[in-house]
Amino acid sequence: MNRCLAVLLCLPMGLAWADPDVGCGLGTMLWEGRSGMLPKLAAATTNGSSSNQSSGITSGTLGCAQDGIITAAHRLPMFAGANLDQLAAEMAAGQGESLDILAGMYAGDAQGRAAFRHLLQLNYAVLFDRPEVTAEQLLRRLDQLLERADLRAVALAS
Amino acid sequence: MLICGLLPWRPDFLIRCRAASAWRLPLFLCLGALTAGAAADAEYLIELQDRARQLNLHLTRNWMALGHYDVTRQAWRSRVDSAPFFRAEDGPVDPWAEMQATLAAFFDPRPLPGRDEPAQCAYRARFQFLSAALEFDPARLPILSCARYQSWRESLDVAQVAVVFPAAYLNSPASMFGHSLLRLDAATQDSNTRLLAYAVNFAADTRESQGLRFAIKGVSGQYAGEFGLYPYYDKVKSYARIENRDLWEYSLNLDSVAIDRLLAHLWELRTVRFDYFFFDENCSFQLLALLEAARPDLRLTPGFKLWALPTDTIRRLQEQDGLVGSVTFRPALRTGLDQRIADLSVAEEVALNRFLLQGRSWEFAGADLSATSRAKVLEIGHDWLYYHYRSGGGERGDLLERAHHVLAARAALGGTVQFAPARQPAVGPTQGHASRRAHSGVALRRAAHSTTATLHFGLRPAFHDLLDPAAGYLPGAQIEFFNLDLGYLPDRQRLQVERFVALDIQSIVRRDAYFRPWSWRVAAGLRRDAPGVVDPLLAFVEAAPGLAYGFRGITVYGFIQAELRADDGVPKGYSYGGGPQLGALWQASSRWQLEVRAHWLERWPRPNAAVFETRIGGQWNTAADWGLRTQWLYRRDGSRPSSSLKLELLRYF
Repeated sequence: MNRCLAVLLCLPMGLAWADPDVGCGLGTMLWEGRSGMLPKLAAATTNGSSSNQSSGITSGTLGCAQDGIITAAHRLPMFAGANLDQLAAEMAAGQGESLDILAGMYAGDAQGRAAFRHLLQLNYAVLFDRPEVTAEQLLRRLDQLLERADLRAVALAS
Repeated sequence: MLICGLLPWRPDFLIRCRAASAWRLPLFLCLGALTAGAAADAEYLIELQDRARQLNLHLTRNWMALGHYDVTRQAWRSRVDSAPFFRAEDGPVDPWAEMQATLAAFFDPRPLPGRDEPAQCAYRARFQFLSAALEFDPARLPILSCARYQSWRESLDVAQVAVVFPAAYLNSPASMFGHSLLRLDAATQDSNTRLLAYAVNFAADTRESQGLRFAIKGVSGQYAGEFGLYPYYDKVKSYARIENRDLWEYSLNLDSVAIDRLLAHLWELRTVRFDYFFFDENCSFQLLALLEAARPDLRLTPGFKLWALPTDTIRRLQEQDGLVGSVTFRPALRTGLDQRIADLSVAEEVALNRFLLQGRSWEFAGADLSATSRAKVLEIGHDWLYYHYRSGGGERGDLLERAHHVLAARAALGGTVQFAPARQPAVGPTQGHASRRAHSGVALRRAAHSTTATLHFGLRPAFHDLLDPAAGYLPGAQIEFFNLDLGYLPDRQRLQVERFVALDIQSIVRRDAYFRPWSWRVAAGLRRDAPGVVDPLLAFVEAAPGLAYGFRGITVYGFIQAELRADDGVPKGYSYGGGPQLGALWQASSRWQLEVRAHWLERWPRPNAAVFETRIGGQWNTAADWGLRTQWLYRRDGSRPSSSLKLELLRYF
C-alpha cells in the first residue's frame, strides 16, 4: 500500500522505475500478460482451475487489498490496470461496459458519464499517443484532461 | 486437580476438567484451582456441552457442512486437510470432539495462534450456528466484537450470489471439464456494474500449469487448494478475453440468512488448505461444499465419488427447487467477433478483408464506406488483432502498433455504433446430454464369406463424442475418458474387452478467412484390430494434426495421422504407421448427427500391410437421454477385406 501511495505521489517524476508487477494495477502495460497457445492436453487432467493464488483471501490481490477487499485508494488503479486493453478499445468506440464503470468512478450521474465518454473519445490521441501506454500514464493524462475540461464532478468516487 | 491447576488458561484445559468430572472426580476440586471467573466459565461450558449433546448438534447437517465431514462406512472424515482448522486433535474424524473443543475455544478472548483473531471471530460460522442453537447467554459467555470480520462483511455488502461457469474454449475440448466460481454481487451494483463484484475462486496453488508432473500431482492430491477472493473483472478478463470462453452466470436465490452463513463460513476458511484433487475434490466440488454450509438443508455434495464435472455440479444446483434463478450469458471475445463479422454487409466485409488480410492501408480499404460502417469495421479490426495477439497469432509489437492506429482512426470518427446484442445459444452448457453414457447393441461382421454376430455393451464415464447430441456442447469437439466396450461372441461363448480407450480427444475447428486454427486429435488405449474377432487386445497411441473447413452445417476435415501400437506379430513387439484421414461431420439438428470418415494407414515393419478403413456413423436422438446409433464399417487389412454393421442403443445418465 505504501508503495502504491509512493507511486501516486511521485507521478510527475515519470515512471521509468515503475516495476510492472507492483503498484496495484498502475504498472500494467497495454496488451500485457498472457498470450499464446493455451496448454490443451494439460487442461484435460487439471480441470483448468489451477492458478498461482498465493494465500487465499488474505492476499489474493497482493498488497492492494485487505482480506481480499481492494482498499479504496487502489480501486481505480486496479480497475484501470486490469481493464486497460478493454478501456482503450471502448474509449475509441465511445461506449462499453468497462468504460461506463470507469466513468462512474469519476462522474456520478448519467449526464456526467456521457460527457466523460465523449471527452475521452475526443482526446483519444492524447490519452494514447503511442502504442505502449501504462495504466499509470493513462490515469495521469486523464486527470490532466479532466482538470482542463473541468468535468470532474466527483474525484475518485469510492 | 493437579493437572488442571498446572495448566495455563487454555481451552483444552476445560475439556480435561470436563473429562475429569465425567470420571466422577468431584468437579469442584477441578474448579477449585481456578479463579472464580474461570470456574463460572467452566461451569457454563459444561452446561453448553451437555445441551449440545442432548440436542445431538454435532450430528446436524449444519455441523457436518461446517466441518466438511464426509460419512463413509459409519465413520466421519473431514475433507479439510489443514490441522489449524480444527480445535480438537481428532476433530477431522470426530465431530463431537470438535464441537466440544470449539465451544471451549469461544471462552478464550485471546487471538488464536496464527489467526490473529479470537475463536469467536475466526470460527464465525461455527459461532453463529452454536450461539443460535444453544442460545448463548451473553452474561456468562461474553460476546466479542469482530471488527475485522464486520468490516470485511460490510465492504462486500453482498446482496446476491451467482455461480459462474466458463464454458469450454474453442479448440480445447479438455476445457469442457472446465471450472466454476462464485460471484458475490454487492447491493450497490447492477447489471451494468457487475464487473465490480468479487469472485470466490477455489484453486490449487501450483506454480506450474502443465506437464506430466503437474498432471500427476494434480490427480493425486499433492497440491493444496484454497479459496481466494478476486475482483470479478480479473476473472472476466482471463476467461472471456484471453481464453475466449463464454461465461454463463447462474444467479442463486439465497436469502440474507443463507448469505450470512456463506460469508461467515468463507471467512472461517480464509487460511484453510484442502488437498486439491483435479477430478473430485476440485473447484466445483468445493463450491458445492461452501454452498452446503450456506444452505445445510440442501444435499449438494453426495454422489461425486470419483469426479465432479463443473457442468454436473451446476446441474446439481439446478435440481434444487427454486435455487437457481436467472441465467446470464457473457460472450467471449471470439464469440462476439464471429457474430459481428457475420453481421457485416458485403461492402463492410470487403473492407475488413482488404484491411486485415490483404494488408491494404485503411485509407484505401475503408474509402467507400459510410462513417458508421467504417466505425464498425475498425472496431472489429481491433478485436481481431487483439484476438490474434492473445491466441499466439503474431508478434505483440507489430499487432499492437496496428491496433493503435486502428483505435486512433476509430476515435477520430466519433459517435457510437450499435452492434446486434450477443446471441445466446439456445441450449446452455448444462442443458446438453448427461455426461455418463451406457450402450448396448449388436454388430454383424462379414469377412471371408462368413458372418458373425457380436453383442456389445459398455460404459463411458465421460464425456462427449462427435456423434453424441451436439446441443450444449462445443461443435466439433470430442473428449472421452475410459470408454469401455465389451463384446460377447455367441458362437464361441466368449466375453471379451473389445476396446478400452483411456483418452480420445478430437478438436475439429473450422478455418475461415479470418481464423485459421489447426484441428487435432489424440487417443490412447487398448483395442482389437477388428471388432468381434478373437484378436489380441493391443495398446495404441495415435496423434493427428489436421485442417477443417465448414460448408453451412457440414464440417469437412483432414488429418495426417501417426500411430504407435503394440504388435506381437513382429520381433520388436511394436509397430508404427501413418497416413491421411478424411471425414465430414454433419451435426444436423438437435435430432441427428452424421459422420463419414475414411483413412488409409501405411504400417511398418512388415509383415504389417496398409490398412484402409471407411466408416459411416449416424445417431438419432430419440429422447433427451436416449440415442440410437448405427455404424457401418468397411476395412481392408492388406488383402483381407471385412465389413460390419453395428446398431446400438445409448442411454445418457
